[in-house]
Amino acid sequence: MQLLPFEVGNEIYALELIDIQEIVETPHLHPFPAAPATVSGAIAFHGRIVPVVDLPCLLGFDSPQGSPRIIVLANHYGPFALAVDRLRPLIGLDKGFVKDADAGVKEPSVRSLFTWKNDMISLLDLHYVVAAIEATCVK
Amino acid sequence: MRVEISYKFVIGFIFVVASVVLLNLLVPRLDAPEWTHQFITVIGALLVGLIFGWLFSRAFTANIKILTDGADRLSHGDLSRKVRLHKGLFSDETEDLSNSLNLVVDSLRNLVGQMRGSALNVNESSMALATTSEEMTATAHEVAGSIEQISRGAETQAEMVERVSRVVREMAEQIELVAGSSGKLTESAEQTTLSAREGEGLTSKALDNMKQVLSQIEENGTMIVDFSEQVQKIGSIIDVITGIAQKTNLLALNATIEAARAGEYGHGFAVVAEEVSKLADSTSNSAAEISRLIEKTREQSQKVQLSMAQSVKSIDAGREAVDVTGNAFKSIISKAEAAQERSIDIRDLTEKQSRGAQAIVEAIEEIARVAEDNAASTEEVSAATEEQTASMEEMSFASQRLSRLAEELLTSVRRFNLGSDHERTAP
Repeated sequence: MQLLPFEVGNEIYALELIDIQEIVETPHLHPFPAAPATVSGAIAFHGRIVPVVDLPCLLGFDSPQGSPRIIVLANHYGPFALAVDRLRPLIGLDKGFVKDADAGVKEPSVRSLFTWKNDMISLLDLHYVVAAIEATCVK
Repeated sequence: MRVEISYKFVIGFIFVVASVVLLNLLVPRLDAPEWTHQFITVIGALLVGLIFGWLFSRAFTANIKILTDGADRLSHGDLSRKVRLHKGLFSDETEDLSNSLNLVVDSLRNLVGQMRGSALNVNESSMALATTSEEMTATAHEVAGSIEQISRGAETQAEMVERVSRVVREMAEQIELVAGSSGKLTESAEQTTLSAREGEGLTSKALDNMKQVLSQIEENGTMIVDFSEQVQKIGSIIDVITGIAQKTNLLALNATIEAARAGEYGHGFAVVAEEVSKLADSTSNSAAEISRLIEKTREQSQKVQLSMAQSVKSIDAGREAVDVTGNAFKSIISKAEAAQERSIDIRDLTEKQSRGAQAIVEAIEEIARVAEDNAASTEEVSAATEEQTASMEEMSFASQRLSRLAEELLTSVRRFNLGSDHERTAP
């Protein structure tokens, strides 16, 4: 399996490439009126309007740089995008390498944990993210 | 009627002879014995002779006694009375004698009167002379003291003049030294003027050189600014390259994502995308390296610009300093020229002064000689004044002696009795 690691605050998260549609540089971000703080705005993406979630804000980090990279998620989650602080080079590894996180991880946003080149990388749970977005939007 | 004594004796003799004759005639007529006739005649003649002789001798004796008394009074200094004889019918030589004696008395009286007056005069004059000579002695003592002071003063003056002469001689030597120094000063001022002119030339050359350096530095500055601009342009190109590399990287990433999504079919594409990504990373690294180099170059060129600006400032300051130095040299030249003129004046003046000092030395030597003569003269005058003082004292004693002598003379003259008239009229 291939993973795209990225930095949010001082933590490193990762997503499977299967779940990613495309990476875009920070385009012109159109803010929503009366949107919650976790939603930065919307971008135009190949003729579609895609909302952008401020992932540092959602995970409880400060994001003073304004999260310059945007990951547009695949259609089965979307359409929506995640704003992150910085991308890291791709990593490929076996599925068995990634342990099930239920045993040691109590954080609900993390699906599982693994170490890579002395870095602890958390595999982001997109279901939790979607649920959290929906919860905030319903409010 | 004047009858001389010899005639009186002749007349008496005639009377005796006549009485003898007469008696011879008369006696016979008497009634007397004859033998008595002769006797009576002789007695008669003797009587007549005795009578005449007594009469005559009595008159003589009286006159001679008067004369003797007068002479006696004269011998005792009584000149108050004249000799007065009894008036007889027939005057004779005794009257002449009394007249002569009276003349002597008159002469003596006049003489003594004059002597008394003269002795009084001499007494008073000698007293006055004694007083005067005592005063003169005192004055002469004072004069002697003053002359002694003058003598001491003259000695002091001679010493002082000697000292002044030494001092003035030293002064003259020093003035000659000053004259020599002022000559050297003139030479130094000339040399200073020459050196200052050379310095002025050197400063103007230095100023020109500094101007050239400054213009070169300004050219270098503009060249470095151009260079910086070029480097800046390279930097912007590198930015473009970096952007392209990033975009390529992103494209490669998205291609990898696409390949992953394509599954087995996208494997070859994923390899190509990875290669592209590696190339983009390499490009990005090189661009970053170039950017670092450009940054370093820019920093260094900024440092060079700063240091050149500082050099320009320093050179400006140096130029000002050289300007100031040039002005200073100009003022040094003018002052050195003025100093040269003044030192020439000083040299001339000191030469004049030297000649004047020589004249002063000669004059003071003359004064010294005069002062020494004065000292010797005052010593002589002092000795003369002492002699004069001694003489004055002797004169004082002599005048006192003279006064005593005059008093003795007066005492002697007082023995003469001049009578009331002359006592009154005597001075």
